[in-house]
Amino acid sequence: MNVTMGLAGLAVLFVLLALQVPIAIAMVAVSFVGVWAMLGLAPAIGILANTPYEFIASWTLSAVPMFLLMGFIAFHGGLTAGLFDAAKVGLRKVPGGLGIAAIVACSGFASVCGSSLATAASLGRIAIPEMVRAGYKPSFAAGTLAAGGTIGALIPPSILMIIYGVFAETSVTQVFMGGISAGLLTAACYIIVILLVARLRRDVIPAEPEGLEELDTRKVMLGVWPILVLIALVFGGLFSGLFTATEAGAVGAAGALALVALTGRLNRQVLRQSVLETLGTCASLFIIGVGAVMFTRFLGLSGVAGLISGAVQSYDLNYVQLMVVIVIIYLLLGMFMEPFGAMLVTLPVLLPVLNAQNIDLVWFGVFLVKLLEIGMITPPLGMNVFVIRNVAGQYASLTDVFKGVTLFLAADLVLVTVLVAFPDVVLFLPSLLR
Amino acid sequence: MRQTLDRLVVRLTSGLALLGAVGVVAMLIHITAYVLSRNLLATPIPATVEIVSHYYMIAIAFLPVAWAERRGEMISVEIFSPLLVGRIGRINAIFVALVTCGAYLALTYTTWIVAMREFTARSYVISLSVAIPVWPSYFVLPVSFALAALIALYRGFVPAAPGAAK
Repeated sequence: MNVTMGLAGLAVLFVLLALQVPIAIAMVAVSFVGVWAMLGLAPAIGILANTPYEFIASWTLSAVPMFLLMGFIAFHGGLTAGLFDAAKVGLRKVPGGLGIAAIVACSGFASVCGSSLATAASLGRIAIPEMVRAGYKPSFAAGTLAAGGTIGALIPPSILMIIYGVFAETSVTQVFMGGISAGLLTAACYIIVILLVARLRRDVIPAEPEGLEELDTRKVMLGVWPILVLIALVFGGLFSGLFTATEAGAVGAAGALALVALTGRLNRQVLRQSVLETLGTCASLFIIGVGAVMFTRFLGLSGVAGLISGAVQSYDLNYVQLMVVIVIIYLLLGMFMEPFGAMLVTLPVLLPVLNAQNIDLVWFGVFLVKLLEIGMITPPLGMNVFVIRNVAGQYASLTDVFKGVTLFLAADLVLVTVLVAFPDVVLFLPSLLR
Repeated sequence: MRQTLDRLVVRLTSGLALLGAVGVVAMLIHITAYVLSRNLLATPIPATVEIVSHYYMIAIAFLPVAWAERRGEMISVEIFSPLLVGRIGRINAIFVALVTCGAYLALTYTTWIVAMREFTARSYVISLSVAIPVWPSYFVLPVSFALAALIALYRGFVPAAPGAAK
C-alpha cells in the first residue's frame, strides 16, 4: 500500500517537474502530501517542520557559500583574466595550441571556482573570439569551451561534490581529492581531441594560426601570479592540514579578496556583485537540498527506496551491468535536468543500492559528478552549451555548439569507461589521505 | 497602486536579502579569523562552528529565498517550455504559483511551530561549556517562507510589467 503511494509520489514529482514547478517546491509538496496520505497529518508536519533547519545548520555545508564567494571574487576582481594569456604563451609552438590553452585555462579556473557554468561563461567570453580570429572553425571553438567548462565542477573546489558529500555522508575532502585526477584526466582527454583535430582537420584548426598578437612573457607572468598564489594557498593549506576543506572556502575567499586589493582592483562593485551572486546561488541551491532531504524521508517511509534496491539485488546485476544502468540513467536525466536537481532527485533511490553493492561512495561521488557534467553538454538541454551560446552568440548557433562538442563527448564516454574499469584512477589520491 | 506594490515587494525582499548578505560577509570574516587564530596563536575562537551553522548558514540559506523567488532564480526543469506558451503558459504559471505558494505556506506554518517550541524552551547549544542561545535563528525560517509565499502568488498573478526593473 505504502509502496504504491511512494511510486505515485515519484510519478507526481515528475509531472510537477515537467510543468515547471521549481524542483525544490515539487519535492517539498510531494513529500508533505505523500507522508500525510500514508501516515497522517502529524508525521507530515513533523517532516516539514524539522528538516529545513536541521539540514542547513551544518558546518560542512558552509563550504558552499564560501567557495562560491571565492570564485566570484576571483572572477569579478580580474584574478582569472590572465590565465588564458599565460597558457597561450606556454603553448604557442604546439599545433592547436590556442585550443589547448583554453582547456588549460579552464583547468586553472576550475581550481578556484566550483561551477562549470561559471567556468564556461568566463573563459568562453575571452577564448572563443580569439580562436575564431586565429582561424578556428567557430563551432569547434565554441564546443571546446562548452566542454572545457565541465572541468570546473570536477577539479576542486566543486559545489556539486560538497553537496554530494553531505548527502552521502562521505568525506568531502576525499571526494575533492578524487576529483583532481578525474578533472585532470578530462582535461587530458580534451587536449588529445584537440591535438588529433589539429593534425587531421586543417579546415577546423589552421596549421598556421593567424592574427596572434605577440605576447610579452614578462607582462603575462605579471597578470597570472595572483591566481597562482591563490591556488597555492588553497591547495597548500588543504594538503598540509592547516585548514580543512570546509574552512578552505573562507580562507580562499579572504585570500582572493586580499589579492584583488593588492592588484588594485578592489571596489564596491566587485564586492557587491560577488556577495549577491553567492547569495542568489545559495538561495536556489540550498532549498533544493531541503526538498531532497524530505523526499528521501518520504521514499524511505514508503518503502520505495528499499523496493528499488531490492529489485536491483534480485536482478543480480553485476558491477558492470549496474554501472551501465547508472550511466544510462544519468545521461538521460542530464539531457533534461540541471545537475543539482538530477543528483538530488536520484540519490535517495541510488544510495541504498550503492550501499548494498558495496560501492565506494568516494569513487561514486567523483563518477557521478563526471556523469552530471556530461549532461551539461548534451542536447537538448545542455546548460554549458546555452551559456556559451549566450556569451558567443555571434560566432555559433546553438546547433553549431552542440556539433562542436561531439568529439569531446566521445572522449568523455571513453573516460567514463576508464573510470568504471579502473576505479583506482580516482581512488589513488584519496587513499593517500586515509 | 501597482507601482507602490511593486516597490514594496522589491524593498521587502531586498531587505531580507541584505541581511543574508551580511551573513555571507560575517561568515567569511569569522571562519578566516578562526583559522588564523588557531594556526598563528594556537587559540581557536570558541563557538565558531556553532555560530556559523546556527546563525550565518540559516541567514544565508533562507533570508534570500523570497528575493530569489522574485528574480525568478529558482531552478526548474525547462524541457516543455516551448509548449507552455500563450494561454496555456499563463494557466500553467498560475498553477505553478499556487503550488509554490501552498508549499511555502506549509513550510511557514510548520517552521513557525518549531520556532515557538524553541522559543519556549529558550534552546541553546553548548560549546566548551559556554551556552550559546540558538532559538532566535529558528524565527528566520517562518519569516522567510511567509514572504516567499506572498512573492510566489504575486509573481504568478501579477506578471512583471514590460520593462520592469529586475
